Amino acid sequence: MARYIGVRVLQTIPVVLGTTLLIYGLVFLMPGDPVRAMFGNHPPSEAAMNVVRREFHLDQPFIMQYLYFLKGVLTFDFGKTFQGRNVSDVIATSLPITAQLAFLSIFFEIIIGVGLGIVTGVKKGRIFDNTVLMSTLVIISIPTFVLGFVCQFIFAVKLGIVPATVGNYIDINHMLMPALVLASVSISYVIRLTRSQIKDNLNADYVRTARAKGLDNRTVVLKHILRNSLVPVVTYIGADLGGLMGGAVVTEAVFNINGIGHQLYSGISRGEGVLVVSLVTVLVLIYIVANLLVDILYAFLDPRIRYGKS
Amino acid sequence: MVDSLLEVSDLYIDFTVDKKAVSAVQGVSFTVEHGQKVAIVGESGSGKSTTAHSLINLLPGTGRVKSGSIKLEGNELVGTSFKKFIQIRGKKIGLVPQDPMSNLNPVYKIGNQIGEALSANNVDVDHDIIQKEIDGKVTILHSDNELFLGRGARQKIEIEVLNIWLNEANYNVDEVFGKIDIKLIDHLALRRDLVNILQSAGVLESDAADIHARIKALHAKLIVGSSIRLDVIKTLQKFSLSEVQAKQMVEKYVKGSTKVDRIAGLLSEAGLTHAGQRAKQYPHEFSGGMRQRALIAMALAARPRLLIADEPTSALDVTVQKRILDRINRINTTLGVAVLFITHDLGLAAEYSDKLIVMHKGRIVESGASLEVLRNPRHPYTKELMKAAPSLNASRLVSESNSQVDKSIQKSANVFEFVNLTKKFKLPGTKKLFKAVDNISFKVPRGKTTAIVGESGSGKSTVANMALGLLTPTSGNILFESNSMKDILQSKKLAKDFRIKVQPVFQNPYGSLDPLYSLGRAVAEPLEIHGVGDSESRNQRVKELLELVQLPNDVITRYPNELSGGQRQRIAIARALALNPELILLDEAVSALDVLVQEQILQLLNNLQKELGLTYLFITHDLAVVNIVADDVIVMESGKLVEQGKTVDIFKNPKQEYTQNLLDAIPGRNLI
Repeated sequence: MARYIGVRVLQTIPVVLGTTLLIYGLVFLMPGDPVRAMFGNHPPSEAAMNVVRREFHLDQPFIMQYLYFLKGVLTFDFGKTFQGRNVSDVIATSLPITAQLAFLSIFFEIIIGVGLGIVTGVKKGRIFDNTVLMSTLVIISIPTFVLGFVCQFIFAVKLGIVPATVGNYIDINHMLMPALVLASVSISYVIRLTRSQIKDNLNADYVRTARAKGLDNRTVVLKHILRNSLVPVVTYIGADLGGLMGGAVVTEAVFNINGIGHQLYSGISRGEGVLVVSLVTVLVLIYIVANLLVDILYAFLDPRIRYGKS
Repeated sequence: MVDSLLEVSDLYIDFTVDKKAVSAVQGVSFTVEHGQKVAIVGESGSGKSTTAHSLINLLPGTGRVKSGSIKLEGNELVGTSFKKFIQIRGKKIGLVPQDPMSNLNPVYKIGNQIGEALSANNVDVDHDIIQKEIDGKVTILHSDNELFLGRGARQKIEIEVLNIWLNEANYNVDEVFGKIDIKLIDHLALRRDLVNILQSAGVLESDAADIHARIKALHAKLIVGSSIRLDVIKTLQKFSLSEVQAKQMVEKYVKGSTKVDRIAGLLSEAGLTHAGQRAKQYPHEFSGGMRQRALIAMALAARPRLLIADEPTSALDVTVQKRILDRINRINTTLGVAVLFITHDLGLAAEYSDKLIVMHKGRIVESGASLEVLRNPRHPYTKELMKAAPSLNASRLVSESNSQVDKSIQKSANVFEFVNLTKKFKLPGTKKLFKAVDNISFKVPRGKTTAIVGESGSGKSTVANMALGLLTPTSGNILFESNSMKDILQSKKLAKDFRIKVQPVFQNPYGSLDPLYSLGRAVAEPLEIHGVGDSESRNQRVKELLELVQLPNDVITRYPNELSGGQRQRIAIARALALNPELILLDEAVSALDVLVQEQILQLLNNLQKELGLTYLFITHDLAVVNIVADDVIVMESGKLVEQGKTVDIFKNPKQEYTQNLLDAIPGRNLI
């Protein structure tokens, strides 16, 4: 098991290097001169701009810029924004907000998604199953921002149950609706995936054997069927963490949340290469760690993967 | 009058297909007495498995009991609530399912899955429910005398027995033990140096060796978690202890076992060695036979009165099959559990059961005492089954057909020649080499059937893969029509020619056809790959081929899932024939089929051989099949060629013990 985790951790190193290089390259290729953009309509003298260029290593060739950036990342120094704020400060204030949103969403995904998946899988073909299936189809076909506005209008404006926007109030009360909206599509997919897995495993030979032993229905479903059904679901949820982070750009805009998505959006619009690369790097790292956790959880759920060669 | 254990009367079972009721079982009635062994025999679709599953309310899909009655010890099961059945499953009726590969949950340890069967049925791990035959009837006895032997208790008993034996051999026990650190003889029987330890304490070498051997034998008889007080007393008496001594020891030490011990005990009962360690392993670390043993242990955990064995060995090697069936037999006699065998093999059914029930299309066509039915079958279907059962037939199939083979072309006498063939594999994780095939030489004569027989792991499939050019031999040579395999694979032209002349047919007709290809396309594919003819002539050829394998033309547009196993295997044969090959390599090609279908396919293969002058290389674990199709036999064991010769000679007069064992493992062979 330790060896398995070690191999997986080592495998992430080239992935991190490759992705950061790619992102850095893409930002480097963005049109326009970021230093000119920084000063807007009243550019200072060329000499002054050169000083700024030197400070941000913009006078160096691409690969040197990347290596400077990499050195900074390794020493937790992501550099400064054009306004002079430390990028690490920006990350430190915005990341926890997005993380809360994402984790709340994942929480809903697991509880609602897997829960309803089990119930519909076991009671397939009944009215409840059909209702849930229909609802998931509706949710999947509506874009997230439309769903966000609709929920805002109904639950906040008309009914007044929850606040309409988040702003600076980072608590469960304010985050509830954005998290549910953000998670809605994923919940639908998780329900469908869990349901089909449960449905397939319900007729598996080992399930019949478990029943033939004299186990009650509850034990058969929760112990034998569920664990075998969870492997693909866990993969989906793990991979979805990245999707949630990306999806947060839209959701954070709708509900006015000052998270990573918000910062990323304004960074791109201002052409702030250092900020964008740093934020995306953080997202990539989170994505990689999430995948690593999925791999480990995988091995935990299925011993054949744990002991498998290659 | 005492109730029968199981009494099924006028049972009707329906399945709903496309909203219509399809009858699977029609008016079946039979009884199983306490401790009796009954076998239901029939081909797939005869309703035998459906009948068995209805007994524990585990009918698949839309199946349901329409009418009739199933009485277990006088209690009606039809219409019983779902909850009540949970009480019956495992506790009163145990199930040993068909396919050991898919019937264990891959994510839980074996021990855990057996432990579940104990806890689900609230079986006290300290006691055993004992069924004993009294006055011809099996009765359930409950008694405090039936406590299990625990792990610590066994060791204490062994030390005490050691004491007694030393005493008998006129040693001063206190003196001997005074010189030994008692911790040294922890695992008494397992310690190889017990002899040395005893010697160092002044015991003569011969005495020490004798005592060690006896302790070892005793150790093997005392099974933790399975032996009960009565067993321990009997065993000790066999080892020359007096009844009083044995009883005293048992009262003192045998006080029940832990759940872990009980799980190990159940696995040992099912015939698994090193049961304690095995319980900590996962199903994927077990072989098929071991998994089947685990499933038997599971089914017996709560000491059911009836064990349903649903084709318990159809996926296993003959020798493994024999061991498993013998074990079930032993359990039947020692525990008094009644057994209901479900099988398609009449020979097996006759050898392992007291009573035989033959089912056909949902009805019982014949039933009676096993030997009686076997020797005097009355119903035509039973006769048909008997004729088809390879284990009950001793002569080679004969085909009457005019050979169309043009004998004017000169061809080499042997299609294949294997010369000193060896294949070594590297064992994963080590540098050790493992000899899968060890220096074997034999010839495959043209127009004949040569069979390679062996258990799994014997290396027969490795030989097959080398013959197909899919593996390269480590040393030795393969000659195909006098050309060396090395040269063939290096020359594009020769390789292409070889791929046309040698065609494989594999075991699993479900896995070897692409589910997305229509059957016509599947058969035509080799023609397309080798660019034979245009689409018109290919279609014509496909029709010819289907005719050869006796399938109707309309299967061209159908898909594999619409066909039965036997029909699919016919398609696989048609595909192999498409390019007019010289040799067809049949790798367990009939092992997955019912006896009746198997017989049809074998007959077909035999006819084709006559008609087209084909050579067959037949890879199988089933000697019975070899007997009716092969001209020459190669017997393999652990990579080595054990025996080779004409089929008739080997069957009449096997020279090697291994071959004799394989022959003995054929069920029902000695009954006729």
